[in-house]
Amino acid sequence: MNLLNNRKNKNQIVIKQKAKNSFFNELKKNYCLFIMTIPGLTLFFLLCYLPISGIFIAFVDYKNYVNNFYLNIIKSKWVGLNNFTIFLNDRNFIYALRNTISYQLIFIFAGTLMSLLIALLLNEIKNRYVARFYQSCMLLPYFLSWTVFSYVVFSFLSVQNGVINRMLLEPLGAGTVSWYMESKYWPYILFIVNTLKYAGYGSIIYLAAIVGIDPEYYEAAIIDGASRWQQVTKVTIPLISNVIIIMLVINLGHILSADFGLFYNIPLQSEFILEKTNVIDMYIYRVFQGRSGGTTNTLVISTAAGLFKSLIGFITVMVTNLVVKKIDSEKSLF
Amino acid sequence: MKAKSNKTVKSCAWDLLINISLGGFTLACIIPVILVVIISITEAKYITIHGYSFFPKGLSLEAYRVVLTDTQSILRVYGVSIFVTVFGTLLSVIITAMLAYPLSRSSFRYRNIISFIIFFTMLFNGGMVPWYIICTQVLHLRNTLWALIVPYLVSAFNVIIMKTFFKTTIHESLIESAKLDGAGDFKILRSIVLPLSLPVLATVGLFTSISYWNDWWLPTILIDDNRWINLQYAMTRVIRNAAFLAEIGLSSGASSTHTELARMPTETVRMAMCVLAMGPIVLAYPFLQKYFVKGLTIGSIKG
Repeated sequence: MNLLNNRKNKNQIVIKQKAKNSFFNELKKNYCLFIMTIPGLTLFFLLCYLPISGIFIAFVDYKNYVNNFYLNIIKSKWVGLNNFTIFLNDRNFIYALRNTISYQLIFIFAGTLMSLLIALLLNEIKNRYVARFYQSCMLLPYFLSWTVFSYVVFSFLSVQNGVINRMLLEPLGAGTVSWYMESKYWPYILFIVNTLKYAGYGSIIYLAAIVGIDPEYYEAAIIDGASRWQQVTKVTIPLISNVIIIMLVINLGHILSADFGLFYNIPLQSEFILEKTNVIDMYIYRVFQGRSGGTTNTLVISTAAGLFKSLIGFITVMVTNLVVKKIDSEKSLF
Repeated sequence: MKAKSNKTVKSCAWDLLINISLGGFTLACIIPVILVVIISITEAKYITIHGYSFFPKGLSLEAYRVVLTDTQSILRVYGVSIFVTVFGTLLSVIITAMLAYPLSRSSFRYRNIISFIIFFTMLFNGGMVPWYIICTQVLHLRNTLWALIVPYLVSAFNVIIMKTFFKTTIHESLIESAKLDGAGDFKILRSIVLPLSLPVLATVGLFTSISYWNDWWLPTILIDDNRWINLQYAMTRVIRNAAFLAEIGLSSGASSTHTELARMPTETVRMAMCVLAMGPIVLAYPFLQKYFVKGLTIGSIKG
């Protein structure tokens, strides 16, 4: 810290001396470094900052006057927050919001529990090769695309040929189920698929934390006569509780960002089960594509809904970061 | 003596329980992959009679012959995916390294401002629709091959990972001495920094290539010209049509769907496509797992 202040002071003196052309001096000294940043910064500007300038669409009654959307925004009538009230009064949006939050809460808490369980169990396996084999297999789904997963799920659930209908329900004498038309099963299906894809991946961070625990704690516990179960509950879990809480809080910061790939691909966009599979990102996409009835100016409403999501997301991330900073300032984002 | 043997029995029971539960979950993770492979080599006739099965009677490689000889559409789709993955990853790693290197140099005065500009993109974005408008009206990406490459070229996360790695592993004095020897920054990056940073380059490269290979979103929103669709998007279209026709179309008794069905890839061909889509990842996986795990834990290091 002291060093930093010193440097700051030094910098300030330098700035005072050469206030006028400090930028050009830096440019002259480090022009290579400047040149290097150009392609990357240009891309960030084009792909992230220009779209941010487009959020003004959400506040106007956007019409296509000319072929330049900035001019269109200026020419369109300013309607303030009117667009926001339109989608906030849309029943589909409320359903999507409700689904997003409930799915995310379940995924975050149950998912964390699963990952933690896997990490604890993997740590109990003394044979490194076996543990490595388990871990490799459990990580594999993380690297497969949602498209591949949609094929897998379809091969289980298809009415005509699906494994569940043909190999399980038929031999049992139960009637077949049209999985893609009945919404009541979908919370469970989505939860299973999500867990399969992410549980192994999530366990890595906990396993790293567990492996990092000083063996002396366990030695002391064994001398005190602690059983394996007690070693886990009295030593391992308390020592990694910080990591668990921090991961939970960080994940809660992204509560509105449900995994679009999961909800878009796995139900194969079936309209019949939308009630249980619609999430905010999907709502935005569907309004934008004009596939959600009720609104006429689809571009404006979907922009407004997107901005709503971004703003709430920004706030939740800021708040959760503050919480993380309170717990362990090393782990906070900024 | 008795107490001790009791203890070992208990311990063995624990081990058994642990292995059963982990083994069960492991099986659940790889069974889907196995099922898809089995379906792809099942005889098409068997499926129409018995449905998908883990233990089919009658195997055939007909589906793969169909996929690999269909040079018109399926192979082209593969070509697009392979090109985008290879070219996009190379370009992305180069751009990311070039951006991360100046930010890791403490003698670069504007590194903090630029770092913040990059980091901010992780916190706030304009949303899907403004992004789409910029991509189509300003960058004119719609229905070009660039649409599948450009949007994923830079990611704040990758830049931060690389910056952290450069900063922590490459000593400033090494760079200073190279400077004294008269090397420019481009030369230092190319012949000192990058050769010393192979682990992070591999990690970032692998994650980028997987996100290119697995991408279905960019073609969904930016492409409707059949020439430039990639493998994943072609797969989503095929499965969606199949599901729609099989589950909904036929059950409502629409007659026109039968002709549609005839033109669709058969079930085994579909699954063969799926196998070839996961093939590269599954095959490369054992060799690259080291970097995967490293990359996943690197992510937890503060930027």
